[in-house]
Amino acid sequence: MKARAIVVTSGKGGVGKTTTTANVGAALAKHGEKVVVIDTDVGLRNLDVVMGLEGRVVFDLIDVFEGRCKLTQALIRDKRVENLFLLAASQVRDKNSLDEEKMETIVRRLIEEENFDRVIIDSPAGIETGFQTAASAAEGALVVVNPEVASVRDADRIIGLLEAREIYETKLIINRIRPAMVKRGDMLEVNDVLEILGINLIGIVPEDEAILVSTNVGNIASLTSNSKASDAFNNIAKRIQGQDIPYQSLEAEGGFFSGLKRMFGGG
Amino acid sequence: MWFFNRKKTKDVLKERLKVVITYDRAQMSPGQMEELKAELHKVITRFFPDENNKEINVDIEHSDNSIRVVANVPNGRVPTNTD
Repeated sequence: MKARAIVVTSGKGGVGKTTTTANVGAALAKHGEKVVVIDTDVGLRNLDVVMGLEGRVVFDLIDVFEGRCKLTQALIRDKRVENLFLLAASQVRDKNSLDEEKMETIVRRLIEEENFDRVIIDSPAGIETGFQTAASAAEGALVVVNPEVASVRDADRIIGLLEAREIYETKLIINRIRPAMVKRGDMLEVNDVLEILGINLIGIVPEDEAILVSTNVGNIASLTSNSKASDAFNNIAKRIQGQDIPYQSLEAEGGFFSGLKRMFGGG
Repeated sequence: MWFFNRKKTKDVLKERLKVVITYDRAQMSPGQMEELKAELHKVITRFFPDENNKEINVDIEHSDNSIRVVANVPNGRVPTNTD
């Protein structure tokens, strides 16, 4: 992706925006970029706990907005990987503390003065102020969708709103797909979701207990675990960096022929 | 085998999503669509009282980059040579 400032969004809550931000952000850093992840869910911040950095938050985004600290003081360095930083949201303020102009200024300074290669902005759920502020500074977007009715519908709304903001580099991450259900015809396939939403794919992440297990202890799966979801997040990071990484395993497992193979003891 | 005849639930979902997203994109509800049909029917009947207006068909069409509401109004018959 050309975009250096990328918003992670979905419309619907609970589909994996924060998990995606943490895992893709960390994977981008692991693959050589200087990355900052920004939590814009003011009042309901969670990126800090998902990354296991909650104990180190001193200043937050609103403190920077309101001049109570320098931008660099609010950047929390993640020591587990080179060049990964967190800018936390305020937990005590509300979404009205956000300001599109200030958000744009901060993101510009992160890129121009602090030399970040990538700024990943975790958007709150919904389509109002919080989302609008998160999107205001973005040049590109990762839309996270689960293959179920409410999430797909909301994703379509969000895609329309991103277009209205003239954010055109918008890529889709299908999260929490369950290959066994897809195989039975009880879950939308990747191609179904793409056909309905009409935007380009950048990642398919299977439902994976490893994510929850990592998050429980404040680890980031894309840095530590050898799981399918972890591989998927690393592949997304590589695709963002322009590598041509083929989509694997899921389709193979869900396919009719591999099903036959399995039945007859092959594959 | 039974599962060859079973309608996949994901196909039902896909159709439902296509319909609901089309209405969302058109910023119109299915109820409004019904109202529009009824109104159109009244107006068209005023202009063409003799036609069989039951055939009026209003639909939302959805292509890659546009949404259009299409009303199809049969207006008169072309005489056909039945020799």
